[in-house]
Amino acid sequence: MNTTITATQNDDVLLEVKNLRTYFKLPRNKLVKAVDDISFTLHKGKVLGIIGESGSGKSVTSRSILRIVEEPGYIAGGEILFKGVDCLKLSEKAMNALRGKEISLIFQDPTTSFNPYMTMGQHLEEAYRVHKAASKDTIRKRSLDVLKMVGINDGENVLPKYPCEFSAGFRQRIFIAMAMIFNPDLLIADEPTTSLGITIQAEIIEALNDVKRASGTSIIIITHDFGVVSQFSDDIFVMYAGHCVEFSPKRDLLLSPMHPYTVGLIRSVPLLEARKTRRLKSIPGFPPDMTALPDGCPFAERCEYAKDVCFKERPELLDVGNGRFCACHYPLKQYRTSDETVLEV
Amino acid sequence: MESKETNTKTLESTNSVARPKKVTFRSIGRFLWENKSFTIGLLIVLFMLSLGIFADYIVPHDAYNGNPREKLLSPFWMKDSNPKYVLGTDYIGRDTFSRICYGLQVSIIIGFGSVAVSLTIALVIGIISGLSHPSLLDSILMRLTDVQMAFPFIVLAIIILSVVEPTIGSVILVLGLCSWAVRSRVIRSSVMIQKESDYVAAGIALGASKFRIAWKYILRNLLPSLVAAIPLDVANAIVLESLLSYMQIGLKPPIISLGSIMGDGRNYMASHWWMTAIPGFVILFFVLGLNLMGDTLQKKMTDVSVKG
Ligand SMILES: Nc1ncnc2c1ncn2[C@@H]1O[C@H](COP(=O)(O)OP(=O)(O)OP(=O)(O)O)[C@@H](O)[C@H]1O
Ligand code: SF4
Ligand SMILES: [Mg+2]
Repeated sequence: MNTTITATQNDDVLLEVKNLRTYFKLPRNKLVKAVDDISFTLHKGKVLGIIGESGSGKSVTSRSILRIVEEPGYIAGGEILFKGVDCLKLSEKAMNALRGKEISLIFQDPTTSFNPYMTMGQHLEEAYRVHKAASKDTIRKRSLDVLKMVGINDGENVLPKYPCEFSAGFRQRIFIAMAMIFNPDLLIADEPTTSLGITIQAEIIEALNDVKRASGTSIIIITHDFGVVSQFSDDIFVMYAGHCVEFSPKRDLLLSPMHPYTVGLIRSVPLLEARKTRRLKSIPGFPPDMTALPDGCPFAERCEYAKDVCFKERPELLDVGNGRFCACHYPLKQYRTSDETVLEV
Repeated sequence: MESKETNTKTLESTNSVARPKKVTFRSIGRFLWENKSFTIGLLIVLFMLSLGIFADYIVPHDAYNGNPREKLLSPFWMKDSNPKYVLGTDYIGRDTFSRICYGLQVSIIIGFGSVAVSLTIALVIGIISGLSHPSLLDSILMRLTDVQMAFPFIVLAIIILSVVEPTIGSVILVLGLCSWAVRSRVIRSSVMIQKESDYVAAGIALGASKFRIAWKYILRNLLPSLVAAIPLDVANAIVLESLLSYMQIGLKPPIISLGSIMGDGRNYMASHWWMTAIPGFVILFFVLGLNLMGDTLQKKMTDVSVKG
């Protein structure tokens, strides 16, 4: 169980999560292992995509990194090395100094993530003042700068207005701007586009891309949509039932997925696979009951390649070369998705 | 690049309503024009407030000592009236108008005073139990509000006022202590909702401390609904105070209360009905004015939060 995805050159590693476990205590002594022993590495200036079905523990992972897992959840173990320092060992105060300043989180639903009684200007000001005292002018200047970063050039008109005056997509861009107010080294976007329409989604991804280009920040983007991660992530991390099932550079993962679950996910994306088989396949069955995970491979119930050993022994995340990791007893060596066009989606 | 430089105008959602704006003379005028019931209420309340606050300068006669030879006079529109006494005199010849001015003064002090007391208690209890929600402290505080709500107000007031001397101060305390429970429930639930809200989560993710969250996010959002509650609560307190005085368990002479002026007229109801009716109408109008204001405020203040 000690396999970790270790970085090759250690100095450009920004975030290293090792064997992170976050559990939820439920009534009647039930334990939900929402995140169970996951490890991954994020390099400076890179984008990591985390993908998985609903309930696979993506949000819990991102909240664990910021240490804001809500009750009754708790971090049961592991290490979260941010710039070489273990966040889990920091005091609450030191952790607060990181939040919003060095690590920012972007929320899923921009219609509820703003305080309806505060203007956008007050929001940006508050994000600033949480960490640093400064004059109104300084903050205003910085606010206009970050708004420009996400493509809003008429910031003067935006600041005095209230959240209810903007569309969801526009609010999300302002939220991204707010997250960037201190130029954090790490931006975690938890399904930033899920609640938005399809054209707005592209706009938000574009805004994130601009932000990344302008500031060089690393990004973790969480989604259950391959279209989103395939666009601009460097590495992809596939989660299933709180486990990491595959971690790989984007290109390799999309062209030759190794884990049967990844294959299932790719097959269920319209644009990726329809050209080849002309038919979409959804993954049969349902995600497992998180309170009673099987001893063996959590995906075994739904896996078409499952053999006896899969039901008995949990596969470990193994290094399969070329920076790729896979947790499967029978990784698919030969599987190829249609062609290079998948990368352009 | 071009396409991204979208104008805010085009992206503004068209259904945005009720946006708070910068306060200017023009915007106030506009608000008053658009909310006529509020304006009417405000005028009534201002009139009553000025009668009460400036009573010392307004009253034409001694409100405490009357001229027995000029007792039981009728108000100006009836025969039997004396132009010196606009609203007539009571059974020992004291000027009703002067007494009403002082009665208003007392009503205002007690109305606002007791609301200050009850809102403070409600805020402290509501915020503490809301923030500490699943906890023993929360349960204890909520049982306490249950107890307060289970006691009928009058019974509680009689019990307290039979032990302590009814002065302006003690009546303020009694009214305050008897009416915080409902508000504290409302505040508690609002705190609990906000605690779970995304914007508080966003604040936490931005690195705001617990104290900052409670102060700058949660309390700040409570303020509009509290402001809207003030006129309604004051109206309530004024009615209750008058009731206590009318029933002679409240303020004792020589302190004048609108309720005790009404009480003075009780024995003359059949022949001199106006002695009871006039102070009664004053209370009615005052309360009506406050309610007109409160209703509009409540509608306006909650609009923003509903629109998200
Ligand atoms: N507050 C909570 N109480 C109990 N269990 C929780 C809580 N929050 C999350 N969980 C558990 O953690 C698991 C993972 O939740 P998480 O929110 O991380 O999923 P997700 O991958 O982000 O899904 P989605 O795509 O729906 O956002 C859930 O299946 C749930 O069982
Ligand atoms: S370990 Fe077995 S059941 Fe699990 S994904 Fe691999 S083949 Fe399927
Ligand atoms: Mg989620």
